[in-house]
Amino acid sequence: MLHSIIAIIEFELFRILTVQRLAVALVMSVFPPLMITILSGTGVLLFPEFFICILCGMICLLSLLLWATPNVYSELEGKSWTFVTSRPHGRLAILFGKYLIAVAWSFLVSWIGMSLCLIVIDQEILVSNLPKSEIWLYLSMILLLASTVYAAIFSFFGVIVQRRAMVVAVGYFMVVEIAAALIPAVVGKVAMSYHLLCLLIQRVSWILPDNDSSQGLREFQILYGIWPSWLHLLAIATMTVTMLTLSAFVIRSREYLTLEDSQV
Amino acid sequence: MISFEHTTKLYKTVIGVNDVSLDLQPGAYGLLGPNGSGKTTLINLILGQIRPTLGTVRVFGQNPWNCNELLNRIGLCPAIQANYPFISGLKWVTFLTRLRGFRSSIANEMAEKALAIVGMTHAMNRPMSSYSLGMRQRTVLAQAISHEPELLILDEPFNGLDPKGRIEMTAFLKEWVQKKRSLILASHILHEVEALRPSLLLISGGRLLASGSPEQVRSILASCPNSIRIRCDNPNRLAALATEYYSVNKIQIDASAGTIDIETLNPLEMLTGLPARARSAGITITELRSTEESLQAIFSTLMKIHRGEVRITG
Repeated sequence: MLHSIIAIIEFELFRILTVQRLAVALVMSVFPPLMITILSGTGVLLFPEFFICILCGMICLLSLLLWATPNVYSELEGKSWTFVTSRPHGRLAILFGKYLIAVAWSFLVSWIGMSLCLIVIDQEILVSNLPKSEIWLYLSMILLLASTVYAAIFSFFGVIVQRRAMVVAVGYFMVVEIAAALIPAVVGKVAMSYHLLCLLIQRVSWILPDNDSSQGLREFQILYGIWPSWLHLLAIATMTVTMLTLSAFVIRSREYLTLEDSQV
Repeated sequence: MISFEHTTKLYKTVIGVNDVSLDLQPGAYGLLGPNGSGKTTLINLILGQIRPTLGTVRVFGQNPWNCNELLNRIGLCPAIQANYPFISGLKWVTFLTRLRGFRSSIANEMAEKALAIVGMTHAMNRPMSSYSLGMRQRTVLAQAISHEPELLILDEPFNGLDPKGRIEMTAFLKEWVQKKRSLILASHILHEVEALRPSLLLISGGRLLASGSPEQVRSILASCPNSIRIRCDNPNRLAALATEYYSVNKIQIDASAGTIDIETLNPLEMLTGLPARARSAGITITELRSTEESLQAIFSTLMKIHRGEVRITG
């Protein structure tokens, strides 16, 4: 099966590397530093690190919506499903091959955006006391974790609903990752955004404008209850593995009908 | 090689195939049926793309659902066109061969060989967007044979081919059959399938209506109630002869056009005997043909026989 996954990755990369798609990726990468540059001069950028996170997170999610959610539907619509799935392990190769491509592509696009943001921003206006290089390291880690876990969740939606996967993914994000994550209760811990935020706060303490990070951290802990880092990482890893396992089970056991099949 | 036991496939409330039982030994088979008759469903059941709602399917003795070993013994040429405008034929066939577990270099060699067999060597490095419909069809065929399968399944392979392409495709398939390899060719055009001299499986409405050699199937079809159109210089006299000697259900005379349409329960008898009687009576027949030429019409007749609404004569 490894051969098949590698073949899918290589083939998808070959398809991705077109001028049109690279141009889209470039525009997405340039958007966050452009916003930061514009807002830096206005003085409204109170929490630059947070703003960089939000912008790059949005780029990452947008990219995942484009690459992870249509994993099955793009094959059905592109009429390539029959060709690939009439090969041994074809279904799993599609799932994992496209998942890895989605992770790599989304991380790369958002990571470039984040790196450019840190290049254009002045160290003085950053809330955190950490040097830029360390913030870059932590934000890179957060983006990688976000790409990994959200790609798994969105891939699952792609496997179960196909045509409406993007709508479901956006709905999920609004309800679970934004609304539920704000609830200071156990239900909030279901959201991966909570764990990512906690990891970020533990590493890059920037939640208070007066730089009293230890005080801010305590307040956040009282309200939301921060776990140790390894527990957050475990939660993210568990969600990733669970979603991929469920997706693998569904894609193997489900009958997907192409347009030709639906005509009997 | 393949066995279906009372296999039924339902797509919610739509019947894909209905209570099909058959046992196919290695060889060449023509799966004939009008569009929407269940041919693709039958193929998907063989490939394990879908599961039967009722009954069982066995291919090379195994249940094909999620059976990875089986897929390397089968080559599929589906009734769809490859849609990768920027990819060359060679790259695409290599990619699909790699998905069978072959290393890149070996898959490349196998793809080149398969493309050479289907006569695509000259264009294999060009992007597929520059291919004609026939070239794409040949490339699709190449991906099906690159791993030298035991069983080749082709779903409407003649679709979109020009006459030259049809001749080439037929020649390739004849060669395939001569090498004692198994073949299932699904089509809705009888004469395209007949050229390969396969055993025929006639399917309509999801039901297997008839099977056998082309001669046996032709005999069944000739025995079915049918309508015959005859053009002659004396239609009234010929109509009288027809009603005198043969079992006629309905007769319609168009004297101005010089034609008569005869609906008979025994077309074979009439087709073989009436011209001689007409000649004896001094009538010149200029045209004699079945008015129900389309496979759809023949299948609707077979369907009626299947339901017991019509009985076969002769």
